[in-house]
Amino acid sequence: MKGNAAIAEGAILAGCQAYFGYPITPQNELLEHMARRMGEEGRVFIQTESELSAISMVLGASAAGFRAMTSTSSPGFSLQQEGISYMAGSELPAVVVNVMRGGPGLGGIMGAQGDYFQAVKGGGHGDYRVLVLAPASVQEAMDLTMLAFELADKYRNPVIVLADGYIGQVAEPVELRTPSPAPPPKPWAVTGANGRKKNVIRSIHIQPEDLEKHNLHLAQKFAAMEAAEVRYQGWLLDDAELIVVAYGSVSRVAQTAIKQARDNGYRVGLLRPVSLFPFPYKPIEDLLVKAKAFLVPELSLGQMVEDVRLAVGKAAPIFQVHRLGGMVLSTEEIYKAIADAAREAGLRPKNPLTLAI
Amino acid sequence: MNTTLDNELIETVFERPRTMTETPTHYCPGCGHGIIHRLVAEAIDDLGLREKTIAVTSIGCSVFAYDYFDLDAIEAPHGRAPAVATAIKRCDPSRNIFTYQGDGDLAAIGTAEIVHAAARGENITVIFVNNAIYGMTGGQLAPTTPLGIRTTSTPGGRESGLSGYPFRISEMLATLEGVAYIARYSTHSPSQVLKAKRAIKLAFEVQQAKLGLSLVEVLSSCPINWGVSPKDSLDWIVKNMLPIFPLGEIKVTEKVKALLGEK
Amino acid sequence: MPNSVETKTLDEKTSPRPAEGGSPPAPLTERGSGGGVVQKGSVEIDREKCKGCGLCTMACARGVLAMSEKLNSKGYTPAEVVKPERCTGCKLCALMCPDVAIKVYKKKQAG
Repeated sequence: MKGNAAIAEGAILAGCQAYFGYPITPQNELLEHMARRMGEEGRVFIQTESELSAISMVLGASAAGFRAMTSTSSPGFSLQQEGISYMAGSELPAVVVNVMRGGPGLGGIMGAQGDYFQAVKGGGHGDYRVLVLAPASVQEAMDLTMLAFELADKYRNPVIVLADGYIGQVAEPVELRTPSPAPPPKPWAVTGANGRKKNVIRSIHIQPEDLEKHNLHLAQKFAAMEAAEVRYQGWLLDDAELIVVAYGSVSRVAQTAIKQARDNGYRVGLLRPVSLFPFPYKPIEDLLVKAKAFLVPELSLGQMVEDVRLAVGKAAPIFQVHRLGGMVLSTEEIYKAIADAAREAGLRPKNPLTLAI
Repeated sequence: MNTTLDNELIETVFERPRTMTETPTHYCPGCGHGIIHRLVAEAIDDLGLREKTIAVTSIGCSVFAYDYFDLDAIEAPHGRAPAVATAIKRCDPSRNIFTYQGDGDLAAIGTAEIVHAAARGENITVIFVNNAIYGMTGGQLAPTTPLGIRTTSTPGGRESGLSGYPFRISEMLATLEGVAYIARYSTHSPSQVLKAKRAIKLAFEVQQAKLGLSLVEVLSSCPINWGVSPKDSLDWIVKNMLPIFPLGEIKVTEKVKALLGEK
Repeated sequence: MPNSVETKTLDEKTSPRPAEGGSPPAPLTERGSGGGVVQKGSVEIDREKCKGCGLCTMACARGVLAMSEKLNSKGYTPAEVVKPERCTGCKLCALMCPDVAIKVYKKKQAG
């Protein structure tokens, strides 16, 4: 199935009880899949009047104790920053899927990775963080969506599933997972003050002293996320001198390029962040024992590269290669970038035959 | 509660409704919010809905309304209360949901959300407090501000060429099939207050009967930002608001009439 | 669009006269023939909740209430009962009070 459909099915398996969304390319199939399947499951589906109201609907359903999600693409994701900030401030769980397309503005409809800053560094106002999960395959799109619901409830915070348009559109075989267990009870939810003290869910704390306390409380949560939720995949890293750091569909192309490069004697490996927040700083830092250079291919002007730089510092050169506007990075382009980076960094490919002597 | 004094039995005929808390409100002297909060609380108590009710509060002077109701409540972003309410009601239709919104929240930033909740016929109740100005932020122009009125963003008086005309969103919403009941009353006299209370109670009954969206618009005083005393603010409503916002029922569907007939 | 306009114009029947302290419920007394004031109701005003807006004094048709000259702890001059014997328990004052500061009592009807 397509990545978009896998995300939808994953949400249903995770017990998503309410979906609110607005059509936008390249994730319309997700909404359509939900329209059909949520109806079949007797769950709530609304095609809303805008992404703005969709995210507020997620806020409402979440506040009432239900697992809720929305999905959109980049221009709609901008509209949803308001709701994401409010939900982070109100400590509400939510899953928001952004299937990225070219930008800025209306941009294009083909896949891109230009929303990294917005998703990871926080496109909404205020001091908050959200967990960001980046699938690189259709299977992972399903799995990470299911994980997103679990983490959202665990931390009472929005979680973003950040796919690019290519992951959304590509079709791959998928194993349907077993449905997730029911979430733990939510005594904080607004369900009607039935025989208990009233619950009020809000993000306003008008006294600065109170708001500071609240922000510090949230900070503890974000620190807990950073400590426990780093996810990444390492491939051919043991002897790698050149590390390619890539996520999403780019990591798939990079793998092919890396295989070719290995065949030609380059000692190159891949570190693929799966969680973009928290970013795998330590795993990258740990590679500095052997790594002499990094290459960060992105479908953007370079956004994740800044986090790589935070991990690497001046310890090794960081090279980049980009395509923009919905263009894809090809294996040839990444291979060439690997070769250029190796040369610049003084890393010579070892002939496999020579190694045998 | 009966108290015996002087060998005579007296009963309490008016006191704070159960659904209102004891918390003194932060509203200005003479502000209509206090009256309207009480009417909503009374209606909820009359219908025995307190433990099923969830309030969706909004942004404006009433942002702390949840402190004055003994109800579960969720704060909605500015204008989004109908969307928040929609989601809760769809997820659990057995709850009694109302939004409480001012004219900026409902008729400016939240216009899309109320129109589409109404178009979808969501079974929610909307309490729309119209005081023809933006109170919370210090008295700026509202979509409901009459022409000629001075506000901090129309210091020379509202001119149509520059700032457009006030509009009646309740009448606009009434054109939508998903709307079951809309009425507009006021707080400028005890008899209007009683009519507003009856309308709010009926609105909740419409929700319980699942007849569609119910909305009660209540004209309310903002003495401070209008620059008048609380007593004069009642005349301000009569003089400046009634010519634009006529009182009475705006939409009552046949099913709502039938509901009334059964009572 | 013309409509039936509800206007409340009431004369101020009494000039404000300060009473001592707060306004507890006045005893309900019934004077007999030849003088004939039958007090049917009584009100209690929470001085600390009252913000001195004056809407109750406007609503009362019988001059029971007036604005006090003594400040409460918030700096407002609350309303107070000045002519308790004239109260009929009609509740108009409480209907108009934005602060739920007024409690109204009425003599129970016989039977």
